[in-house]
Amino acid sequence: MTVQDTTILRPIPRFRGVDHKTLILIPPGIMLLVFFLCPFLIMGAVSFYYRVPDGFYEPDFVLANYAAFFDPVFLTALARSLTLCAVISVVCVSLAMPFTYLVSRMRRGIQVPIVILLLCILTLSEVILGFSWTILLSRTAGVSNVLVWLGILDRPVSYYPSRIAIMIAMLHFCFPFAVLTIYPPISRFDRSLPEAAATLGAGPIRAFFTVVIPALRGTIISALVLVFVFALGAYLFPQMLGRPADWTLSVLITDQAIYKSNIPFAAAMSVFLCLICFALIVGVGKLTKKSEG
Amino acid sequence: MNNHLGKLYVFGIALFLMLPLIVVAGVSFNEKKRLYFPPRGFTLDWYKNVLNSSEWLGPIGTSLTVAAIATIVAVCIALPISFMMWRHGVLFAKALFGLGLVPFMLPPVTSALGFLIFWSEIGGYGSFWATTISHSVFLVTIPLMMISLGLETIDDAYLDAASSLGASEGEIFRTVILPLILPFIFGASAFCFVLSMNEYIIAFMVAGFTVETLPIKVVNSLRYGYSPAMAAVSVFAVLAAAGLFLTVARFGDLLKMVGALDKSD
Amino acid sequence: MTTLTLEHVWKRFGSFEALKDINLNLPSGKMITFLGPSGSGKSTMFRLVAGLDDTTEGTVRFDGEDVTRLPAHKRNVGMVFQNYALFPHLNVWENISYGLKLQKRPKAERRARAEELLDLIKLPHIADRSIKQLSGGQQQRVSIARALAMEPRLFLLDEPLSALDAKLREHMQAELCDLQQTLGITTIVVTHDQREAMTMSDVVVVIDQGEVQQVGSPLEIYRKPATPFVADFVGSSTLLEGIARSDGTFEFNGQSLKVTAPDWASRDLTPGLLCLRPEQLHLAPRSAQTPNAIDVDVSLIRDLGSEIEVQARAGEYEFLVKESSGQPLGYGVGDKMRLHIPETAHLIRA
Ligand SMILES: Nc1ncnc2c1ncn2[C@@H]1O[C@H](COP(=O)(O)OP(=O)(O)OP(=O)(O)O)[C@@H](O)[C@H]1O
Ligand SMILES: [Mg+2]
Repeated sequence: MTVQDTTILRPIPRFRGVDHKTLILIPPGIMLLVFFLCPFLIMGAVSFYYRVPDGFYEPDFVLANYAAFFDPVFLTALARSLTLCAVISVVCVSLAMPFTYLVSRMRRGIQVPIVILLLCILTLSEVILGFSWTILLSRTAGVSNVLVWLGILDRPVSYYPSRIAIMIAMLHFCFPFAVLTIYPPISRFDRSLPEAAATLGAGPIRAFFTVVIPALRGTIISALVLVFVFALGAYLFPQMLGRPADWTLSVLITDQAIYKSNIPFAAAMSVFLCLICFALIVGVGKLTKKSEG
Repeated sequence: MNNHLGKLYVFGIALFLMLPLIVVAGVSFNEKKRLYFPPRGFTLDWYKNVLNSSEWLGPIGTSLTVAAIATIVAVCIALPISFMMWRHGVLFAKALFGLGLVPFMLPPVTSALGFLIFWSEIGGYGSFWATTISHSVFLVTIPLMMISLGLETIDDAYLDAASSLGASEGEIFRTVILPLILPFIFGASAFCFVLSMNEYIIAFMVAGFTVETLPIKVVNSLRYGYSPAMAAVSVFAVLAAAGLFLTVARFGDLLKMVGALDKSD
Repeated sequence: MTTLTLEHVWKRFGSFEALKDINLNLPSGKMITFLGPSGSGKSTMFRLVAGLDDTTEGTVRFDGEDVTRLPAHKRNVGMVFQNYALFPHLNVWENISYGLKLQKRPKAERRARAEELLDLIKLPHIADRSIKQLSGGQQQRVSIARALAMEPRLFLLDEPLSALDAKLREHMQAELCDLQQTLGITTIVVTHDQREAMTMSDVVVVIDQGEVQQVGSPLEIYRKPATPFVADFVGSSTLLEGIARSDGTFEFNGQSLKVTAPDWASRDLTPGLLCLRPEQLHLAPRSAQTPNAIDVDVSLIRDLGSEIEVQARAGEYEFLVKESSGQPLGYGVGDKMRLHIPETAHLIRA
């Protein structure tokens, strides 16, 4: 076989810049720019709009929506959201680290079902999880019946609405996410490190705390941030399992947007929330990159 | 000893994770329209009830359609972006990839509010397409990340080998790249599909009650009191998710898809 | 059978020059090796020949025909990769017949061709195995079969044996040579193992820092290295720095040694390097007054059983001498000896 077909020539490298192949990026580009970037830009603009008292808004440039942040209701909700999510994040990651480490060392036959369980809970709607927790914590069907049966309680009680109920549900909700964020680095983690520690006489628990945890510091910090942001997104648990006094920022945004029809204020809160999340993720990304490099 | 402690820890947490699911499954068998656990009496009527009434079948159908279309659109957006970024390092693709990761980094409420404002501005509020397209761009993070993960596992030497054996760019894509990332595309689709089926806040914000998806329907029903039928619906949702993920695990390496390193590499 | 020609080929990565003005004309139907240290540009040159990368400048010709801008998939070059690059989603025979499938040949024909090649590589019964079930050596052979399936014009192997253990490697070297002789196909093997290059090839191309140092038969490369690099890289040698004269003398350290005058030493006073191979050298006692010799001190003696390696020193120079282990040496470490320099020693232009 000889090569005669020299008419089909490759483009010379330096003219390769804009290739017809890149045209394939136009449809996805349009989709993301129009239907994702635009909504955020418009939301940013609306956060400066003037709210017409009857429930709509008109283009303007006012800072009133941001000034409304100084309302104590907002400030306490903000403080509450941040502390709640911080606690959830710390507890989740602390529980998830040993869990993930242990699971990643188990047989495939056990790892796969556990990952499927995690994925199921991660993908389940907050609606269904919230519904489940209201049953589980209720007087008629909940754990208190088990406690009565065990003789610990005299009569069944309801555990919600309460802050503890919100926390338990959110812990349950965020845990699979925490595990799946730290699963890749942990499963790639060099097995020989804890093994080396073992040859030096450290038991598995000691090896975990003295070798594995310090080596995965960067992973832990970014997991803390990601879980924190993920927890900030919960909006149904505080409503279903708590009182209005327990509402978080996400709930306030929905409430303002849908029930109070104050879209500009909701948009301003939303922009603020986005900025917090961005700052955290980018900041920590820089930090961990620096400490690793 | 420590080994047993570790197992106890893992299975203790697994039990905690399953607890709500077990209770929901339990109450769905109650004979009376009350939620007792352990169930009083045993009946499958609530399941039949759900499967026979248009009250539930309607939202289920809507959710299935929205999820199917949103998944296909999301994969169609993600595939060219991940591919161009990986194969040709196109800058625009990198930018789009970064943009596609944003929904993952923000609380869903903020995206939902953005969609709400956007669709009311351009006049699509409350339409089926508003829900579907919003879902597809919101969920695009999943296929972007998973397809990229799949592409990363492809050794450049496979591509060189294919082209030295006479495969053109298109043929390389069709005969080497696509078969190798197919499990990842499939996994991402399953993930996307289940997430869309379960998504509440965006569906609620961009359509109110006009496009009634399953989660919206559940929330609406909750307002009128609890019934074992809702538990039955929840059981369906869990089973559907578990079934899909099991299928993915059968046809591909689920652990690799969620980012584990292949031990044989 | 195809001749391969490279004319003024350059390859740059940014400002880094990976290949500098390569000119090669390689004969058809021969076993050729590209030999050079790591990072010298062997793989780069290889990829240019296969069309997997573009040349920055210059021309690549197959049988005189310009293929510089012909993409890889139209060159019909069979390649074997270092880690074999067998497609994991296809089984053995599907891998072998991948190229034929692209050409939409009927299945029966593809299958037959795959079986034929499996016979050729002496693995007749594994057609339906999956790639994961093969050992390293088997994968190696399957990838050879795959590369040969299309009857390529050139057969290229990039460090094909480096992943195999020593025993299997020697075995495969012999098999590759057999295969090449049977098929008569122009074959290029990349290696950084000089022994491999010497034993396998008809023609060796020595490359260093992106430049071709020498092209020649293994014996030529060894006996008459063209540059100090080649002398040093292929086999062990000691290079004496001095001045070559056209009358066949080599001035070294104020001493005049008699050598065969190289053609380049036509004028007086050309700096040169005298390349001394261990098996050319002999030690004699100082008292013997050996002509054409230099004074050395014995610094180390190592008895390898089959032969004895002696290290001797003269100033900053260190010489390796190989003596037969049959009779006693007659000298020991620390002894002052004379090192005889044969007239046939090769002179390299400095
Ligand atoms: N894509 C690239 N971009 C930049 N530099 C490159 C690239 N490919 C190769 N190089 C550089 O070109 C030089 C030659 O590389 P090449 O791979 O050809 O070496 P080699 O002789 O095959 O070495 P080895 O024996 O280690 O395989 C090296 O210095 C390498 O760093
Ligand atoms: Mg190389």
